[in-house]
Amino acid sequence: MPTFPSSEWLDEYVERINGSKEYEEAATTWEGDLAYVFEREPDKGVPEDVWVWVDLWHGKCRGARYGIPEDEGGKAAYIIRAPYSRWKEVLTKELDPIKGMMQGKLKLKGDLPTIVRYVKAANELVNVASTVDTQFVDEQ
Amino acid sequence: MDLVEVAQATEGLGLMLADLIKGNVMSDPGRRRMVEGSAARVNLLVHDADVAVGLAFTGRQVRIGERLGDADMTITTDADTLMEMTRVPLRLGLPDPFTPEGRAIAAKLLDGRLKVSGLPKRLGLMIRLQRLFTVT
Repeated sequence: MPTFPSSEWLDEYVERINGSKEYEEAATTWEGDLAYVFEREPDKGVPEDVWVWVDLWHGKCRGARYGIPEDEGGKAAYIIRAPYSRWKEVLTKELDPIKGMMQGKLKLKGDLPTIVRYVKAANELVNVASTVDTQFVDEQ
Repeated sequence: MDLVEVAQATEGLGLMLADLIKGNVMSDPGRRRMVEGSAARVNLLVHDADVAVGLAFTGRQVRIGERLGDADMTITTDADTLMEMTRVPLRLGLPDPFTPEGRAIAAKLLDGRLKVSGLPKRLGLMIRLQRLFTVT
């Protein structure tokens, strides 16, 4: 079972994105890369911010990189960032990502009107993530 | 003077609305008129996210920040409905009843899942808001 966050977890996530019909249908015209930032929480086993980049194109993930430098990840069209424990809440479905953004628990950078148009695709990305069998780093 | 001004310490929904308005005006500059109309005060309450935002239209800009006193209109709904309102096709500036999405919004207005105080008196204000928020 892959640990979150890790490159193994990201590989499994990408595989699940590319196997999701729901995501493919919702994001069929989506073009744009996305960076997730899992912000540091040293007491939870995440000593530094972790930047993850995913290249999303027409309902598929064409590539992904784990642990990229901030200056590289910061160039992504969309960036979603939150502390590690917030992401854990999202992955375990304790926190709805849209409500989390409204509450300021998750922070989004990028063209919001585009995200709104593709909100179903964004939700599917989260649904897919929550299907990955995950060992959380703070529970090891 | 910026068309959209965000109060210090505003986060979450307030920032999202500011980005939405800016993005929509950038892609359709005609929507600028929706901000520059008459002065008005609007509250937006999203009960299931437990967040509230105030929008003060001054006539030249909109200031987004904390919930306002003596609002002309208060919109109360849940997060999903608010997101639906940003994507609903419009007809004459209001959710188009000839589309499933528009009928869904109308149904929520009728059964109380979407509450808008100030209607029908402030229908023009509702049209301004809908045009500012909707991405379609």
